[in-house]
Amino acid sequence: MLEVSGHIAREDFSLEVTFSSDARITCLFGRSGAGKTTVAELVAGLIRPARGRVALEGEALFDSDTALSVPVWKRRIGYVFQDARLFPHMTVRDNLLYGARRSGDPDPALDQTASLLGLESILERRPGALSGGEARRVAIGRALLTRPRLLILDEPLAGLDGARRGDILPYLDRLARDGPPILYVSHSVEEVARLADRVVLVGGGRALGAEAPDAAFDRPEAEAAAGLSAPLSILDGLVTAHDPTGNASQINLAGILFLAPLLDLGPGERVRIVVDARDVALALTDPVDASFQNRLPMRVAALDARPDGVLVRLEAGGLRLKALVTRQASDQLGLAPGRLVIALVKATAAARYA
Amino acid sequence: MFALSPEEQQIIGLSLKVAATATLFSLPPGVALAYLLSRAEFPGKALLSGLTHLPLILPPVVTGYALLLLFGRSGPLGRLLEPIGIVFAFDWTGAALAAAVMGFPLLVRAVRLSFDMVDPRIERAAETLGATPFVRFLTITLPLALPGVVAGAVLGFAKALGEFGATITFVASIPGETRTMPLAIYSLIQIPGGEAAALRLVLISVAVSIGALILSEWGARSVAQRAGGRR
Repeated sequence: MLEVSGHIAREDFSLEVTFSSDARITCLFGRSGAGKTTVAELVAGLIRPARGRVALEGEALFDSDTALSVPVWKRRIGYVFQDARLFPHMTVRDNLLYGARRSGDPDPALDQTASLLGLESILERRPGALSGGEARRVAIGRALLTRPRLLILDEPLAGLDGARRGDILPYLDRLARDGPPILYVSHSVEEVARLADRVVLVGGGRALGAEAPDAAFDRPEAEAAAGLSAPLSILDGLVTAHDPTGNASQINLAGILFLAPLLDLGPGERVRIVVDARDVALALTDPVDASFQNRLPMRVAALDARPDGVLVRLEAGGLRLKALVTRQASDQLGLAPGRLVIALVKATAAARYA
Repeated sequence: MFALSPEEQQIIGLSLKVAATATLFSLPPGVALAYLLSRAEFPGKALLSGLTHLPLILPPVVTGYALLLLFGRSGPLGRLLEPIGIVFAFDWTGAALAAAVMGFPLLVRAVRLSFDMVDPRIERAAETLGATPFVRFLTITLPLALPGVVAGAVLGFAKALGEFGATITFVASIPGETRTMPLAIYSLIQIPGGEAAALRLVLISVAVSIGALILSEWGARSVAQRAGGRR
């Protein structure tokens, strides 16, 4: 459980923070310059707020009321900086072991960490001879080897090209499953949608509350913060089967079967897919001869008028889906809360993030 | 053909001993002061920085005279140190003290610059990995600044080898005790017919300086390679 509250004030910048989260991955999400890193530094103890409180697993790390501030080196919070910050005068091996040597850890899991992050072949190299992606992975391993109680990842994929991102993402997935709780700083919708269990929106000088990703992305501030052009539905489910033709997978979303592009996951594995509200069409009767592979009977829960149309919130059992349609379409169908409709989603419109 | 006479050997030996002692003893406080000036903010920092640089600006004779007033047999610090067996007055240790004081600003300046070059963000990273400030200094800051520390020590050593004004004012020119190379050269050119001997000492002095320079270049390079990051 991570609890953070506080007020940070500088000449050109002020930030009000209050959130708590016991999720495996909590994302600080917002646009560049919103203060995400400031919140992360506050948790790590790299900056001190004018007032506030930071606690991890019930233990206070900072409390302005009791004038308590546990120094950075005693907090046991791993911090992977955006710019890696490896020690240039040490080999990769010595970088990795630096924290373990400080804590006197007699049996650091060097081999295990090196293989988790794919660092076996570069252990004797110097940081100056590493690529950006390799340096990030070493930085992650170096923080992990301190056996941190919390791991802070500050934009671990920023500035890397597609191939290098693909290089690191699988390691992050593994970390999410097997590693310590993570505080993940990002401005990328894809990363947050893929990884977050809880999202803290940072923007407009505030970072208030950790919410489920679907709820967080539902807020107007999130759209502004993320530069989203339309709302997203974030759907968690389990892989149930792969289509025999080999280009689609079936997912169980809260009891409703959904067809998505082929996933490289086995049946029974957890998956999260994201559907753009613009990619959801609505019908009053089931168009059996259309190409939509997902034709889901759902109930209209609410209608939100927006400048760009009408956002239709749909529900069926535990599944919530958003559809963005024009006002004309909404009027033609006579949409109103309680109305039963068929939500139409092409299998290819479901983007897989995890 | 260029065999050194016993006197010359003794002068060279004394000079090296004085310069090495001066460098060795001024290095730890010099490094500490340089780190303080580079990283800490405190009231009186500018004053401390100014005081450190004072021997660089003052005429060496003034510095030597100040040392005499402070550390002479009747000086306040001289009297304080005499009971515990530390005597500077008219002793080779006094020559070393004068050389150390004169070289100190050069040493601190070079080391401070190299501390300024160490990225504080890397030090912060060490803290998040559990390094206390002292450990962080020993494992990150000092190794990364080592080329500058070596350069500072070399500058201090070179200054100590050549120091004249403060030394002669403070501890005079006593053969075998405080008469280092520059003092010996000066003495020789004062006596009629001493030019040849002075010239020999001048050449020796040049050789010793060049030798020290080559050694330090080699040392600095190997340190820089170890600390440099790239292999």
